[in-house]
Amino acid sequence: MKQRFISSVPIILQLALTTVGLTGQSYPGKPQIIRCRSLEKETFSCWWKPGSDGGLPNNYTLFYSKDSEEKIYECPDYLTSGPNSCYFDKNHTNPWTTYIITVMATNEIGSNSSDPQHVDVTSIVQPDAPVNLSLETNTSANLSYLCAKWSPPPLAEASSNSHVYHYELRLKPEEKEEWETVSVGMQTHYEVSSLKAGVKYIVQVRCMLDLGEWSEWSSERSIQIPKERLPPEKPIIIKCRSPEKETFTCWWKPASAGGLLTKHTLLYSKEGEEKVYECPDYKTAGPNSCYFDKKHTSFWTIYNITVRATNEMGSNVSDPHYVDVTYIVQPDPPVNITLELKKSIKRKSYLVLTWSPPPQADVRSGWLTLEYELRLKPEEGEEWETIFVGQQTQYKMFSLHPGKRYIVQIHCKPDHHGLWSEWSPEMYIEIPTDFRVKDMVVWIIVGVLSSLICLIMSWIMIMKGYRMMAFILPPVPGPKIKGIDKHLLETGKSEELLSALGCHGFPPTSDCEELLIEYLEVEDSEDQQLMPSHDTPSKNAKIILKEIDSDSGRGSCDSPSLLPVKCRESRSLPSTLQTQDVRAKEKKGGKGSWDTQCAASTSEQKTLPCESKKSCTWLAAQLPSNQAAMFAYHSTVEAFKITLNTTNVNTSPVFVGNEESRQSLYPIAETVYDDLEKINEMEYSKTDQTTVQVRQNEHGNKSPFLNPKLMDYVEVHKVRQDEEPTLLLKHKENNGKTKKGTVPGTSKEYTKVSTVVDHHILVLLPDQRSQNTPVSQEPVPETSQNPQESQAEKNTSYSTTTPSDSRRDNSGSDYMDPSSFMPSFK
Amino acid sequence: MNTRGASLKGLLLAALLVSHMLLTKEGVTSMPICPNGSVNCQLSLEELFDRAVKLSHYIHYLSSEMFNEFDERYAQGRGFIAKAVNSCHTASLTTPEDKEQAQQIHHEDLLNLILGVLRSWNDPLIHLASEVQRIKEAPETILWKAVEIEEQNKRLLEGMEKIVGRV
Repeated sequence: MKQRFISSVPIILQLALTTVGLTGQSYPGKPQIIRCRSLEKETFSCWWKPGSDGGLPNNYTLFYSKDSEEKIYECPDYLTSGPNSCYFDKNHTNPWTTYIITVMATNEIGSNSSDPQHVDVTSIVQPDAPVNLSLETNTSANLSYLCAKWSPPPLAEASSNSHVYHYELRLKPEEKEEWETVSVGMQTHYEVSSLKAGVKYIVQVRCMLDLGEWSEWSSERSIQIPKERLPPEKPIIIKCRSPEKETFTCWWKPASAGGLLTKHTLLYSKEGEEKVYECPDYKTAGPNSCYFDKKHTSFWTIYNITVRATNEMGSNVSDPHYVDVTYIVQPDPPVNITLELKKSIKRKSYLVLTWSPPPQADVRSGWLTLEYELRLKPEEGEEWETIFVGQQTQYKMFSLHPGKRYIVQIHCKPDHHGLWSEWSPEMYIEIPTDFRVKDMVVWIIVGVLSSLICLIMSWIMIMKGYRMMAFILPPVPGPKIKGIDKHLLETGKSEELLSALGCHGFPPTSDCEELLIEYLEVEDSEDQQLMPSHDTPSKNAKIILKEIDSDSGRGSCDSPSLLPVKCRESRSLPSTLQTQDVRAKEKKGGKGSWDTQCAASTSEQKTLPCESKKSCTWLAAQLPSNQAAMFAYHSTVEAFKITLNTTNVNTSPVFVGNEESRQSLYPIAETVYDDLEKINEMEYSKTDQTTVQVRQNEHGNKSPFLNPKLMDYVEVHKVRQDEEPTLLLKHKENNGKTKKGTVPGTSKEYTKVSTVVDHHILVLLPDQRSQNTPVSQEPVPETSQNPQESQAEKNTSYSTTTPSDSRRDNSGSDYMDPSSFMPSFK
Repeated sequence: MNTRGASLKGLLLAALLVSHMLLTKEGVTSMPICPNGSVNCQLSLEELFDRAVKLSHYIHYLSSEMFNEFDERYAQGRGFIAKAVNSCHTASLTTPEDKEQAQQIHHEDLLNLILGVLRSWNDPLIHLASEVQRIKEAPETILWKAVEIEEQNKRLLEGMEKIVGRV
């Protein structure tokens, strides 16, 4: 039984508890003391936080004890500081004691108490924040400063001793984050000076007692600092413009006014006048501008314009701007731009661009004259091409690519100093492409034709390639020697060849010897001079030598027919002959063979006349007629000249002929001919001439060409004066002429035959040897030009010296090179 | 004045050719209608006016350049132009005020006005040219321009007198 009772007790207890739990009611939770604070060290309050409710209304009681006393007191005032608080008034507050405070929560079921809290009054002092913060700004003497005022925190009990608080103030501009804290001291007002104008500031204050903590910051107060008040800055006049030279407008840039309202006025005066006017119209041209209409615009006067800016603080004036209306003209852009496509006579199309001047400009009366300029570029292009058009209002454009789009703009300017207008709005040009097709056709035709031509050319080339090559690159010709027939050589007929060479019969017969004889040369100058010429035979000399006689190089004196004595004699000629001989020889390049002639002249002659030599040369030159026809001719000419010269010794007027015979060989021949006439005439007068009759038969024959055949040379055996001269004729055609006789001891002389009379009389040209005249030579020019030069020399020599000068060279240069006939231009 | 004018005309005719050559040398473009050296050549009035206009533009260009240079170098903002503008000795000559007046004024009066202006500038320019030569520190450009202006003023005067004689 007992056991059953004992075991049922806990069961019963559990049942009781659960019934209690089921109904939700229990004893209260533990409260908690939050804070204890004293405002002024004389009173303090504590606040607690209640614990869980427990479902039933709770009662809270606060118990405290002092220091180490045992007595427990209850809170005197639950109401003053609000709910769940306890207020200890002055009577219950002792700053020197430590309070131990607990709070107990009680309800029907049970109670619960908080942890005890030790409170020391002095350590929990914290005043309230100050109140009634007010702000003011004051501006004096360009400085604005802030004045802040506040009141200390209110106390529950009006205490007799006014507590001394320390205050602190902080402020910041509204937008910024950082506070600037200022320690104020114990006063309840403060002035802040370093404030920026125009900024809104936020201010807060807090206080503190001697000991304890700072109070909370008071609520924020904000204030706007007003902006600085300054007089305005200087305005600036930007520009003045006149669109048509009848009115004008000026614009200015306003001055910053420091927040204050600024008013601008424009003032102007004219040159020479003192009176100042104000702008007549501020509105027409927009803000910050002044419009001068026709009435107010004067020409040929300078305006002095200024702008004044005024505000509360003062005013400011801009710099003066001097304006003469004539020079500020900037017209409007041209209008009515039109394009027209025209076709010229040649069916070439071009564009005509026309425009009108701006409407306001009075171009018609000539008040304003405008010049235009246009610019254009292809649509995709970068650079504009600017074209100055002048005063005309149209422009023709030719050089535009068909098919492209162009942009064109025009602007204008007054013809005098002024400004260019704005560019007109862009104008697009589309070039038609109609003439493209024609181009293509033309090119196709050209292509077809050229290809045809190429085909033909190539065909021709193929067919006649060889001939073309021959035409283009002719074969190198072999040497052509006059008189030598290659074929003859090839065929090998020596006889013909030799006859061609002028050698009758080969091997050389006696005739050849005679030929050789005839080619004897007379040397009339010293060895020295002669040698070099011998040593350096010219090419031409060689050629001629080759033609005529290979043997005749040095030959004259070496030929057996010649008397060596004479050669030496010839060499021993007076030195007067030498220099000019040398000259002539050098000119001729040393035709050694021909230069020297063994003196056919006789030893009887005291002075070996050059004539004799000349006659040798003449004859020598004359003989090989075929190949040396040319030379013969020339030498004939020369011979004529020489004869002329020789005969000139007698009479000076004869020299004239030489002077005249400058131009060419032909005239030379003529003049020689003429002179010959004269000479012959002269000769007539001289009776101490040789008995050889001299006749002038050639008068009639004035042909410039001397028939060499007529002027064959004959070998004359000169005989003594008392004897009749005998002639040994050696005509080319006539071989083996009868010899009339020889005069031994006489040298063979050569004289020119003028005619044959009556078939038995030879008319010879006189030979001056008999006259014992001093040998006079003239320098004989080799070329046609040289004659001219030497003619000049001759001329001088005529006037100054004897003709001997002229003749010297003659003797040496009787032989004419073919090269010498080539004019050598200097 | 008339007799002198008559003799001047002959002189001017010769001077015209000279000045024509001078004008072209100066870079003032003009169309040479008269070949050089021909004496009986007469330029059209339009051509004469055209030349006068170009010449006066040239003079204006020279003088404004010269003033700007002087102002920059020596005046340094002392406002010489104010004094210059207000004390211009030709300001007393009454010129037409605006377009209407200019179109109504008799052309003889206008031309005489022009001659008056040019003549009254003759002496001061001569003075300027000679004085400026003596200033050693003056830059070459100012010197040259002063002399040039004086010369061109004379040319212009001649040209205008020629025009007056023809009109």
